[in-house]
Amino acid sequence: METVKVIINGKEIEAPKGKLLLEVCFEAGFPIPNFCYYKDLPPQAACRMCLVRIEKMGRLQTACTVRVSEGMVVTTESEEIRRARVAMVDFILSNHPLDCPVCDKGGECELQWMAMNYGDLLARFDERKDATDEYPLSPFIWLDPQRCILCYRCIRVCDEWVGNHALGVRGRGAQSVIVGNRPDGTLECENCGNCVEVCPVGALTSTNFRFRARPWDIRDTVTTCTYCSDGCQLRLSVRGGKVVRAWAKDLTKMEAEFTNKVLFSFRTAPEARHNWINEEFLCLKGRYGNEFVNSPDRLTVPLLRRNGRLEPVTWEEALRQVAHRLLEIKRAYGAESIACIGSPRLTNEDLYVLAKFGRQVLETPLVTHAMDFDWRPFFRRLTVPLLTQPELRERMRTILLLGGNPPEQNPLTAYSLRAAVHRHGARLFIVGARPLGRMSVATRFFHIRPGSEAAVLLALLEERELDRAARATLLTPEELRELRRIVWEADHVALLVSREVTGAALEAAAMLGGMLAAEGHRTVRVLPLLRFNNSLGALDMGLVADLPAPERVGPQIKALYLMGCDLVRFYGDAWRDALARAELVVAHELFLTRTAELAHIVLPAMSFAELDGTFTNNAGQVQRIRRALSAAGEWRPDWMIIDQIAAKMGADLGCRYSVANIFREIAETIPGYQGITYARLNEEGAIQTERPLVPLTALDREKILDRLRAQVEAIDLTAERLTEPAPLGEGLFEPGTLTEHVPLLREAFGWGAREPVSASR
Amino acid sequence: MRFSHRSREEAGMEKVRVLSARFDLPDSHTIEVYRRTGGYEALRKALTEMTPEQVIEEVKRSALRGRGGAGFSAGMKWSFVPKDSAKPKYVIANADESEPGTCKDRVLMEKDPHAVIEGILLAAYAVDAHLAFIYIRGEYWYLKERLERAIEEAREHGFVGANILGSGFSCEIIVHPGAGAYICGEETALMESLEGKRGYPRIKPPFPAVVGLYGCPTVINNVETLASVPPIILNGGDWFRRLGTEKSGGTRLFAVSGHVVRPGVYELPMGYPMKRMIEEDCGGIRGGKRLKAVIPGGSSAPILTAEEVEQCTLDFESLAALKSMLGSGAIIVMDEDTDIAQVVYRITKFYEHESCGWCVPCREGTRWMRKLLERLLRGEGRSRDIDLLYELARNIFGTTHCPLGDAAAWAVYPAIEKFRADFEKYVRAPAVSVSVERPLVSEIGRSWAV
Repeated sequence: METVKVIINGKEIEAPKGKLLLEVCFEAGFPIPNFCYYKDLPPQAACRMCLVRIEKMGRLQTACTVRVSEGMVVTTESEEIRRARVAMVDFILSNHPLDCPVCDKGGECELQWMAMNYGDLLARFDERKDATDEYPLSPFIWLDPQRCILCYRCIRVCDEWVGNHALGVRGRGAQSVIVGNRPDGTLECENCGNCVEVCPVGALTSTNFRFRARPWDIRDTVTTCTYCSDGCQLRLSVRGGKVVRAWAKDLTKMEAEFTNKVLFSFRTAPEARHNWINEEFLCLKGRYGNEFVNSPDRLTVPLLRRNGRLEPVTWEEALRQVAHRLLEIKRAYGAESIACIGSPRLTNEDLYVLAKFGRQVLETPLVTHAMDFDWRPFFRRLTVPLLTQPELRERMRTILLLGGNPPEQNPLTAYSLRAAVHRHGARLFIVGARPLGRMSVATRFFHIRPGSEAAVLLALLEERELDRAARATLLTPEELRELRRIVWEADHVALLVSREVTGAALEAAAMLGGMLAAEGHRTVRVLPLLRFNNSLGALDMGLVADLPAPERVGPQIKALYLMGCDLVRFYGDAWRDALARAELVVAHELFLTRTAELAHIVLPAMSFAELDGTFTNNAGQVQRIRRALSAAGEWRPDWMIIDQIAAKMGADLGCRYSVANIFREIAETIPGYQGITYARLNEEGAIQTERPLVPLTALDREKILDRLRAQVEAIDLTAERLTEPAPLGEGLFEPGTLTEHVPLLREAFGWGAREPVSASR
Repeated sequence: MRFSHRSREEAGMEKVRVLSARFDLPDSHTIEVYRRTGGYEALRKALTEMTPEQVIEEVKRSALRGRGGAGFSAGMKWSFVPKDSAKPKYVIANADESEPGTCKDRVLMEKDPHAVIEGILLAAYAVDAHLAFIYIRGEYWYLKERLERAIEEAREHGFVGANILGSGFSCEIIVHPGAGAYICGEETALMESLEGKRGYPRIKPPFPAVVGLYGCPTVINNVETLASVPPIILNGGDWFRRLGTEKSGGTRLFAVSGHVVRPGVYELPMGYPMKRMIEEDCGGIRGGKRLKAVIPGGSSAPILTAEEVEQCTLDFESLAALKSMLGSGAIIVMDEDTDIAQVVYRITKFYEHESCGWCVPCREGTRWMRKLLERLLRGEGRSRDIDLLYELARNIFGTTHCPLGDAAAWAVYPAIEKFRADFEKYVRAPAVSVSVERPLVSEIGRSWAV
């Protein structure tokens, strides 16, 4: 990279040519105050705080817009600049309400720090202020226009990060106000709250955090999100034993920028170094979906079915019963009569202990998890490394998205796709059956017949099959040829495989990666868009048996050991009957779910906010979750429950009362996890597991193609392309096992009360 | 006679009518009259005898400087357009004339629309643009009709459209009305508006000549600047330059308003004495009163005292020496009865209303100044308010995103410097203002922290 020499405050500094002066100064140790500058957002130059003196230029220049060039001589501290900064703070405060004592931002407000660092002691504004009322922009987001300093961060974040373009400005001059995209000025968007996050003052606030806590009486814990498989890092703020918010703001910038923090200093734990895979992005669920942990519906004590009813019992009683009944059933019907089913939401440690328990203590082969979707064919034929989010944003030049709806299902992936386009002009090609919202950055959209992703893959793998693929996909052979050209001639190719790619097509997608990489040694990465936060971890931990059919429960399977999986909700009423036929159903649960209410023994487990452990995201990156809350009920970690049951059955699972011991064992025994430790995870944030790759030669190309052809032949040729775009909130606004216990989401989306739980059986 | 009559020879100034030559002819807006008086000959000359480079060279030689306010050399501006760019190029005529006091473009477009069109075509030829826009102030709806009619006439005569005069050069002209925002007269805000967006000024650089309308190289000139081009091409740049001063070539239209006997639009050579213009051309101050002040370049320009007017000539250099500017050539004359504080209040109100709201000092500063002035004029002012007002204006000046903030500041602090008494009379109990050296919060914080 070409560098230039600039002189900043008399110090000669070498910097990449064209880099923003403000960033160069910051890195050189001369932080420049600013409001409207934000990393990776287009410059705004609205707040005028970053004015500096550049030699040979007539007036003060905004450091956030000037790009460094050879020989530039810059002064960032002088009487003139000090006066300008004082003036700007003065102007901003002139109509600002100064209601800091009741403002939610008070204590972590950039304007407060700015006033403390650069402001005048006295406010000279003597006139009446123009007061405005605050009002909700949406059920999640409130706006106080008078507090707004119009830095336009929220607007730019909505445009660039979220692709929603939901915010704008109404009015002119001093009457300018931020407004939403509905005619009445409210918001119609996914309510991700990233605008709230970047707001430097208390203009935008979150409904769930308003008036609930002050920044200095909360404790923050960095952990991993428990919803989709992208695995965002987030900070859980806890006050009085309750989670009050989740946020992702990069505090290191503030830490460096405000040298004179008189009132409050940030609490920066070692793991708070902001090397997060999601940078500062969170989605609706990640930000507003965590309060299920506070729910009064949480199970707090073990329940045992007596006379058809679930009744509270002591842990000792419950564990003794589980151990006793499992041994009984194993003795009576054999080990294969017991099935252990985990949940892809649980930690690696819990799932590992479950698998070990199933295999070594119960000695059953039926150890699996509630797979939403069978990814096993894909991972068995993985030929190229998995794609991490930072790589997607910074390195990938040509990106092919096969089906799916990332803005709803994997919001971080959607963010990274937009970032790849905005930051270095990556080309994004979307293949799908219907247009996607919030992905207007795409270079081109290939609109195909629903369910014909397999045919697209066939065309990509085999040029001779273009006509067959064209018939199936409704694309023309020319369009398919164009797509082939795009994928086969590009370098740094990313293949994003959604859950609309199934069966043989999954194998084909995995193989395609290797074939592209073999061609000219190009960089090719694949990203499978798994559903749950630990879907991949569950596969890694060996919970890979086929899920037994519900019909087998009763005749063959007598006992079900369920860890956090709501089979009835997930797979429908067939399982309701199956559970009724089982002799023993043990369920670890947070809530009395449809499944748990049919169980014989229900054991209250800990949520992600109370646990230590790890998740493995869809890129195979292991990340920590950390205990943010102390237990309010008698709940225990899943691994501990199993360990204690095993002990009662006379076995030792080697947990030795520490989750770290379990992870140490995982690192020793699970391929790809070698060398990963909690200490390294704290230090590095996310560590990608080294996944064994299948050499191309080991794949039977013809067989995969045959299976793919058969799948293409089976495509329903009567289906028409869907012209309606995917509705907003399709994936995000639907209730789930956890989200239905979040009051804010229930109210906002009108989910209504769940039917009362009947604990009788 | 109260006015001293000097002969033209004495003044060394020849009043040639270049821009206003057709103003008095009946039906001057029609293409017949325009062609009869030499119209479109410059275009023909350029297309048949000159290369685009020669056109630019001639305009450079004429020392024609922008008539919109900033006074940048038109020829230089054109030469900045990259020749090798693969992107389309555009020409925009800035007809969003909304500076208070300015009404010269209105007359020009009303009386001589074809001169504007010919100027646009010459600029388009010079920079190889094939699409031009006239962004016209929304209130000038009747001029929009007149311009559109004139463009149709020109098209019928083969001057607009494809293959103009058989030269192979094509150019279309579109008239687009603004929606009433003063800021859209700022060239980049105008482009945003033209693109259908909110009229916010853009961050510069890049400048429009490189990245302008729709991200393409764009030449944007004031209507009067463009209308000056055809005579330059016909008569040569040197001829035009000699009409004015060495650095400010040609003649220009001055819109004189205020307390003169004959307000109106006057075409005068650059370098013409301001005093003489007021007294001779405009018939002196109304009612025989004494001159108090002049705002020389539209409301954006710093005010001049009567003494300063004495030594002032109408050119960029003379006004720059007086720390004011010629701006859009709107000269607002005020007699001895004028209350400058009221004038400043009126102008400040205008800028507060027209601030786009993008940047802090302009948005908050203009509101603050307006509120302070309101209180002052209500008679609730304190002596330190005048110093505060002065300081506010100084703090706005030079820190804003676009020149609107500078204009708002220029309307205030020079007026306080020169006419402080007008402000002080509103202060109920005039007292000696005391400036106290105050510590900053940060400094106090540091001592606390120790």
